[in-house]
Amino acid sequence: MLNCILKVFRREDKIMRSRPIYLYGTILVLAFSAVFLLTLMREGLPQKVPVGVVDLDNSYISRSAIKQIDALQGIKIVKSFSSFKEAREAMQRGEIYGFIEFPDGLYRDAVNGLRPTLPCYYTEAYMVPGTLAYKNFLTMANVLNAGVRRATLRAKGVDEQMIMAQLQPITIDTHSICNPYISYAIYLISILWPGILSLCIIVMTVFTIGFELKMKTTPELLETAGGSIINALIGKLLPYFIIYTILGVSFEVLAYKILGYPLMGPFWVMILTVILLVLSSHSVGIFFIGLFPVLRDALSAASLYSVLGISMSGMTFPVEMMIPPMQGFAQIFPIRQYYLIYVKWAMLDSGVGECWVNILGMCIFLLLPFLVLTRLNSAMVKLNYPTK
Amino acid sequence: MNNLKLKNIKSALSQMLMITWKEVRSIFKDSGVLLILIIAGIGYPLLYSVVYLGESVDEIPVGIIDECGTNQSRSFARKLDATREVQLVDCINMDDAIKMMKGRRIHGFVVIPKDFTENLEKGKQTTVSLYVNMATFFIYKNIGLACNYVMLDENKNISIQRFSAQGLTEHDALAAAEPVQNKMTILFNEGNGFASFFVPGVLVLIIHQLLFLAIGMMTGTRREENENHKLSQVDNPSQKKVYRYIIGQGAAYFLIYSILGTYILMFVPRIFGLPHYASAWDIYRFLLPFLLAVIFFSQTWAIFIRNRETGMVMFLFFSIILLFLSGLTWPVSSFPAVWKYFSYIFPATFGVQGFVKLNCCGADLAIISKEIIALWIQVVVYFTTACISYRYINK
Repeated sequence: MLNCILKVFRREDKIMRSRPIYLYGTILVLAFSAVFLLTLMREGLPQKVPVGVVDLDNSYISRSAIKQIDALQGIKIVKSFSSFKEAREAMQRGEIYGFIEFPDGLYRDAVNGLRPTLPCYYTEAYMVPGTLAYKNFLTMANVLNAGVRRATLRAKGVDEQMIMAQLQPITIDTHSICNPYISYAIYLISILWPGILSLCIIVMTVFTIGFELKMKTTPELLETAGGSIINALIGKLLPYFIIYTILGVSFEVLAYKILGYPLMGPFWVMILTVILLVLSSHSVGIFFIGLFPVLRDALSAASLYSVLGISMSGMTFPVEMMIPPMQGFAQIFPIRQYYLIYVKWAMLDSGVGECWVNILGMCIFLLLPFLVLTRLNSAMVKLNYPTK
Repeated sequence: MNNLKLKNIKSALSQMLMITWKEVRSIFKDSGVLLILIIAGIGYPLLYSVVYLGESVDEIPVGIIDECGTNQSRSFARKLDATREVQLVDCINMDDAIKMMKGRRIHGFVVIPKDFTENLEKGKQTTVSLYVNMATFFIYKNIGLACNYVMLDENKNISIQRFSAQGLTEHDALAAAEPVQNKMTILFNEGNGFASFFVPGVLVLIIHQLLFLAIGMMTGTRREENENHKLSQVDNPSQKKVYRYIIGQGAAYFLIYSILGTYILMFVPRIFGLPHYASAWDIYRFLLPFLLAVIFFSQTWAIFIRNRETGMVMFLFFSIILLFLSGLTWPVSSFPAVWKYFSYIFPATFGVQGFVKLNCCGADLAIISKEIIALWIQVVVYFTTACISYRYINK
């Protein structure tokens, strides 16, 4: 048996060298994705999000507020506008993600105790920079108020110590568990890259088996494997499994050991999980080509399915908030199980007790190929499906 | 002379129409292309909209540990509980809260310290601790928003009380507590919904990807069936008149997607209550260069696609890359220059930007002129490259 597997393995090795698509679908795509994601989001959290000001007051208050914003890391004033309409248009053009309007008479009204309004506008059409603009505007407004308050109270003769205590009676100290840097990059890349890995594995598994069906070379494949479809599949997918596992493990090492992504649980769990992800994605691939033993149909179906996985993992929008049928639907993606194990075990260190369900879930995927084994076998032997 | 010209135009037109007609027929005869181009074109936008149907994330379970247990601390907790975003769950202590968090029964917890009221009475600053995990962006964001809101409100009330105690009149106390009233207004996507933010961009990406995959599949099939990997169609135009083929073939996809594009960009947002500020006229003027750019872009790639399936394997993972390149999730202002210029290659970049601005930000065509011009430049460039690519293939 081992001998047969080895023969198939060597045969596959030759096939993989024959066309660039195999190199592309394994190493190139995943290396490119890693470089792309890591360099694109190198700031961790977007810095200096562009915002604007409409300064109709041009007073001590507005100038000091503008100075304060310049000191903030999160936002940067890129332009000053003469009217609300102009600023709003710049926002529509996507040049700025928020702006502050200092109305005429702001300073005068503030000093006279008339409590003027300081309008800040931000957009949620681009959620990440919009939210950052909002947060920084809040900080700015707080400091600004403190400044004005000090000036007016001092004029009224309230003593200095009292003024200081009034600045912010309650503060909130946010502790982000397992992501102390509050880095968007860490939270996005931790799931996106494994998501792309799973997608590539599913598609390449379908492709490499389906291509043999299409070229009618499966009888030869089965012969090399000593007539056993299990030997044939193991030998054929082994080189991919090895490559993807090496890539997957390298990613985990890169993320948690070299880049220092925070991890509360044990590291070996991530290694185990990524290997399970590779195996279950291979299984899903076999399932697709077994279900539709025609390359083009299987590939179309597998593509449409696997792209959905990234959204269904629940990393951006929680699965718990989706409508019930979608919550069930989300479970049929290996990357969803990977995400849950990652959150529970790696981020929160919940231990095996909380995530055995998800580990089991991953293992259930491994049973999928057995459902279609006879069907795939007969397709490989009889070649009774259209190839065009 | 004039007659000859007219005859030429006539023959060109009739040949192009012929090619278009044949392309449409082959699309409908090919189940794989049909699945990608039409079935997925109808189903995928619906599916994505349904996935995010929840739209907003309300009443997130958040633990509360009130170590202080006074009226004041309870009032803080009550206010937090009353926000749209958060629903409080009592926790006994830190261990209990962490355990619940590990079981994902709560997504964060708030600790009000023992000396909360004492400090406030003494006029000292007091700190409320918020523990959240950043596993799901939207949950993290909303818990933070709710806590911030309650903190600001409480701060204001406490300041007013203090100043009143100092002997200030109600009016003066209010003015001292908050000399400038801060008013935060969301300008676009006012409901702060996730679907309204995310789905419109994805709709444009769906058009981009499905057209690319379908055209790649079609050209791949044709090259595969030809023994020399050439693009054969009955009565192929001569090498000099290759443009007839590009336009003729492109017209087939354009026709189909001017219908499906209307459905995806105009009906789907309306069905699911997503933002739809743009007028039909503006959408069509945007869709015209976008579809042409995508079609010619996809035809250009034919040079690399020798098999029916290659395109799919090659470009599928790009869906995720394109989503990021469009600047929807990560702001373009934080892009390294390299990726910013790289993003200019793809019609999706300007497509997503243009559509989001039109449809979600209520921009008109003049405001998105940058995107429209960029798309028209792509139309010209990719039409040229598509012709070159086809000539090279059929050399």
